[in-house]
Amino acid sequence: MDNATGNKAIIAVGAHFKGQVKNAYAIEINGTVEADLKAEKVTIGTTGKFVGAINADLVVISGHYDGNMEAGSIWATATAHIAGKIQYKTLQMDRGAALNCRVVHNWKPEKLPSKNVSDKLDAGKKDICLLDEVVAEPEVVISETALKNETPIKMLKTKPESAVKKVKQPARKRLGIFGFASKSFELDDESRDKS
Amino acid sequence: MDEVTYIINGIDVEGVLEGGVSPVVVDGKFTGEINAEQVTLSEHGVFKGKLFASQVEISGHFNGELVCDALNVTATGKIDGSVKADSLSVDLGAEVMGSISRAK
Repeated sequence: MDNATGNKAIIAVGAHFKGQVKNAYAIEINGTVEADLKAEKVTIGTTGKFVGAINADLVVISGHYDGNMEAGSIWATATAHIAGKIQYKTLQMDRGAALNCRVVHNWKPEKLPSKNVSDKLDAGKKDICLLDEVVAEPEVVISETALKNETPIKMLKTKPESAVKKVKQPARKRLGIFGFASKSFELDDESRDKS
Repeated sequence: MDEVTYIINGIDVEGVLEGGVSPVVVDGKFTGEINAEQVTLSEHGVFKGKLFASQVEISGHFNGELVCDALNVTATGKIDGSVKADSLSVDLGAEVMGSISRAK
């Protein structure tokens, strides 16, 4: 008897249950049940009748169902009669199955966690990208240029140009405002110093 | 026909169960009332409430009111409550507490 049942709770043919069910994993209903049920797998047999809410990963219905069902997968076989409301991710209906109910395709259970995770990941990526653009890349460039040029003065010049535009732009402008003459003089001085 | 109403180990059921013709096996936790022909409360089973049946075998923990024709309490069985049974058998090692009387 125990072997035949496997790992399922079973409500047999002719049995009638009304109440609450908790901690159910797999349940097979061939009798009549009035309850709210949360389980991994629910099977309603051809002689089964279920009234009440079901929240399950997989529901196989061959009998009568009336209530509010939220399920990952619903398989309504040819003898199924469904009333009420069903929310599902995947639905299979065999020829002959009777659905007199509200049917809602529902991605909620997976969408919420995945969305949050993706948002977080995106946000993280954005942050990282920004950091790369602003801080990391210029530093690398500077170090490279520094190694190539081998002169500390040129390193200082390349640093602000590539790394921080906002800071440098006003400096340029100021230089520009002062005019060509001053600039040219400065350049001449620097070039003379370097040479 | 041969099917059993099976309250599996680990499950927690509360309510009223009319077993009908098919036998009932309680291996989980049941709180409430059972009416059936044949009821087995197996070793891990815990029952609280009222139980009405013709044949009852108890290997688990029973707490409440039991009315039946034939009762068998096995060595691992524990009963706490009132028992009404026409015929009674208690194995060595079983714990039976409470009142015992004949149903008729």
